[in-house]
Amino acid sequence: MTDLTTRHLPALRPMIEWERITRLVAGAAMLAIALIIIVLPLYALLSQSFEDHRGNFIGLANFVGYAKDPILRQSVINSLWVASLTVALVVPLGFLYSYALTRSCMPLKGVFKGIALLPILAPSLLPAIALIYIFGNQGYLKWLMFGHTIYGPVGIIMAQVFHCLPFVVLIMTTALGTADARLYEAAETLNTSRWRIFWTITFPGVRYGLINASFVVFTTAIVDFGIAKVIGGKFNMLAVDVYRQIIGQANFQMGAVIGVILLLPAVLTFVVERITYKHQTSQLTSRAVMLQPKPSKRFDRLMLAVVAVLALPILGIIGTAIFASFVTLWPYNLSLSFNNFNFGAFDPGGWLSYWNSVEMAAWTALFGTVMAFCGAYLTEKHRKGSRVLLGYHIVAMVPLAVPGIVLGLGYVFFFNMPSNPLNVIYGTMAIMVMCTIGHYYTVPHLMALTALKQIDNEFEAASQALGVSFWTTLWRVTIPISIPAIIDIATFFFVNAMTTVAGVIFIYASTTKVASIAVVALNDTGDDGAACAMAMMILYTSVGVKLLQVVVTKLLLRSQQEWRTNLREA
Amino acid sequence: MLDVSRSAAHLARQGNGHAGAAPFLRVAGIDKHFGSFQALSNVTLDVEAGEFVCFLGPSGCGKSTLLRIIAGLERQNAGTIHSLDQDISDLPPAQRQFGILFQSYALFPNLNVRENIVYGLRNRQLPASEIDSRLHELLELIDLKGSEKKYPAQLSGGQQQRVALARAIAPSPRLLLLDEPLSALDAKVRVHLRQQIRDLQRRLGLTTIMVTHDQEEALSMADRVVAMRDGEVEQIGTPTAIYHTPRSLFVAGFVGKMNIFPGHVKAGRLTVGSLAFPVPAPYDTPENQGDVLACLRPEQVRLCAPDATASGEILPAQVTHLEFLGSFWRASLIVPALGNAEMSADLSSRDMADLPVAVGDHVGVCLPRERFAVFPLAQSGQIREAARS
Repeated sequence: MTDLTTRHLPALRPMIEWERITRLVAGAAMLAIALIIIVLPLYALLSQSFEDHRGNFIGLANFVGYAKDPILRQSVINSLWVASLTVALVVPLGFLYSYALTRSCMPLKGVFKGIALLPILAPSLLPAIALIYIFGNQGYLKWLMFGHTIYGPVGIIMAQVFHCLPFVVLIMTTALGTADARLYEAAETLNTSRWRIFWTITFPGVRYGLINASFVVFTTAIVDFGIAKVIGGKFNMLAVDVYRQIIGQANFQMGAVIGVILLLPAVLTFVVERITYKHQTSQLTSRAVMLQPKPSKRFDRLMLAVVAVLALPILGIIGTAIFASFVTLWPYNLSLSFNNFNFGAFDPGGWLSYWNSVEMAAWTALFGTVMAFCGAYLTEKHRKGSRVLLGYHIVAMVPLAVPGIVLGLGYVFFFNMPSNPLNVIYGTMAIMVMCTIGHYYTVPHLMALTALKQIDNEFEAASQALGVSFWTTLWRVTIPISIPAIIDIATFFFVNAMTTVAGVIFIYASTTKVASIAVVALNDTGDDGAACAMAMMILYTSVGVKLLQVVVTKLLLRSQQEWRTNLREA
Repeated sequence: MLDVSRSAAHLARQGNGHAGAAPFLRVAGIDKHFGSFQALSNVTLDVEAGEFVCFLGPSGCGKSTLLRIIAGLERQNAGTIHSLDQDISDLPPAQRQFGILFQSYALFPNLNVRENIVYGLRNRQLPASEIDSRLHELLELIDLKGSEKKYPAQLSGGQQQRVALARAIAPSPRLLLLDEPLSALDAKVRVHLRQQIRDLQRRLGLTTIMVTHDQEEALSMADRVVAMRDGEVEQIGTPTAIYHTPRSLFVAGFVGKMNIFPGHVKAGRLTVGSLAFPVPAPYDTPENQGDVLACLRPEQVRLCAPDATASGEILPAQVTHLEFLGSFWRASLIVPALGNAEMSADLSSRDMADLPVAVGDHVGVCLPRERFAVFPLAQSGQIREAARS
């Protein structure tokens, strides 16, 4: 036992603190990258909006010019009422859907939740194109429009409802899923009616979720580019105006002005989200008992019926897109073939666009995940007292308040500047990947933070005390524990990179054209069958990756069951 | 400073403790604030080699912060830390070579027992055979042989704690720091592990500092207790000194129950009700003048037959309430001679057998005057503070 006793105290010598240096350098590098891919392009956009086309500062003149243009003014009004109506429709529907999923014992919950989330895996163009097949000039349900046209606000709102439903369902199932059963038991013992329980307990418990969902939908509807572009017809919306000003008229200053206007609702949403988040999380105490719905035959059947009725249009739209992608020439030749998938016949990019998408998504997933995880790791485990990391965290939160089309525009201004040494990447895959990572950065950053918060902070202290470098502990402990979250983040980046249109529409080059852009182009040239086929390829790929994620995570968790059980308690 | 410690010299190893030598650890004038909150102010204490020192105090008193500062996990705002005359105030934790056992154990869940224990050994370029032999010694020491392939989630709380302990002492630390090591365990395991840790510490001669809010734990384990309140050291002393001659009402109330009577000190004599006697020596201080609080622990009170009132120290009393607490009874009494003051007396089962009492009985109470503790009246708020925590 002798050698177990305290070793005879050698003198303590200060050594070079490699850890501190590494931490500083890594934090500074993360901040620098985040500034380049997020903040500087936005700054370029903002400064552009205050300059004339020769680059002289002219104050608010561009904004005044904008306000004087009646057509552009009309776009603001159009965008506002379309977005408001979308909120009024999709939030109650999504709430009902989520209520059924969380508060009833209806069968097939998993299937129906999957159906509701399906639109997230498709580009927003897909419902727009499918709706043209259904209600358009040659649509099979055109008579249901009673002489009205689908091109315009009607079509935009229908497609937006489809596109936004998953966001509402995600937010509301979370909000409705965390309820304190003790409150309901107390109400029942006091003989309270179901109706009153709903308005006094359920509704107050989820109102922040509802507010949050409303703002998310409102912003998404205002800033979405793809839907308005495809099905908007002559109906002007802000996001399309940006495109027209930049691509159509090369009026960069006016494009920048509209970009700045588009920032407003998103910034507002961001602020609301931050406020409601705090309220939502403080709702439940640690002693709360999770509410488990009780079976009730009548109620469960009713809820199943409601969900089925709501799921039908989703499946209808996707089914139509699948069918249309195989139809040789709608509506004249309804025989099924793979002609539409012969993309080379419609668009010079051909299949290359699809593979470009896959390549871009893969790079985005790889670099985005590494960045988001490393950044979140430094922020969560080494932030204390570091202004650099606090700065990084703030920058990482910014993209949530920046629509893709605005960031994309900022990239044009920033990376196209001849004085910018980084302009060599203009027109390459690299800039597409950077823009996509920047555009979707906040959610993965928060996902990684959440995962890392669940890991005991004392791990870092313990390894410090044991004289083990933090990177050893990162590699041997933190990353292995976080693998499921890392896979989640990679999937998120991949799927969003596959479906994004707005972020990259200004910065692609002919060699880096991606599938979602090809869908816009094919729709422009009237090749709707091929556009459908391309959109479906995006959807198939996203679904495939999502399924892969589920399977891989499940297998992983099973093989690590031994130590993952009770991980949170340990 | 109120240092009434006995010398730890007999515990010191290889001459580190002889008179005049620098203490193993000297903490001097430590200040720490978080924003406007003053977590520690001017904390000064010495730890001798081989000693087991407990930081005792309610939550929020700064004891954990002090431990983390000693470990190097937090940086003090002012003050120094020396180890054997060497300034270690600015060294990062790794270079201080202190082992730490965390409250949450912080065992790495994805590494098994073996990998956890040798975690701190791997980067010392030790030969594999040496690591193995050390691992086996440690496993034997914590009585977990055969469990090296298990993961923390497969172990009980007590076993996890022992693994964490083994991990902390594996690299042969100069000092072991224990942060509330027993608070997550249930009562029975706690008592058992208390002895195990103390045993191990003695066997290894490992200088140890433990943080706890459990006064029983501190009193039973420590060579010396550092009682803390609101970021300041209230008293440093042996467990018996802390318990029997507390230096403030806060310490008195924190480590056990006290009967408190209003009293008066004049010319070195303490008057409590009809009793008057010299102030007990440790409390004959300039602060204890005029109106004071005279305190007596319930187990110091003895009961006797009501007719034995011959001696002046035995006062008549009536039993108003009896509470059975397993190993003893707690009797509530009204003592007319103390201005109808209510007081508690703890009676062992043997006391009860010798002199059975029942509610309403008239008895005599014997108050040993040398056992009184005396505090200035100004401290009267501290009793609530101590009870609240």
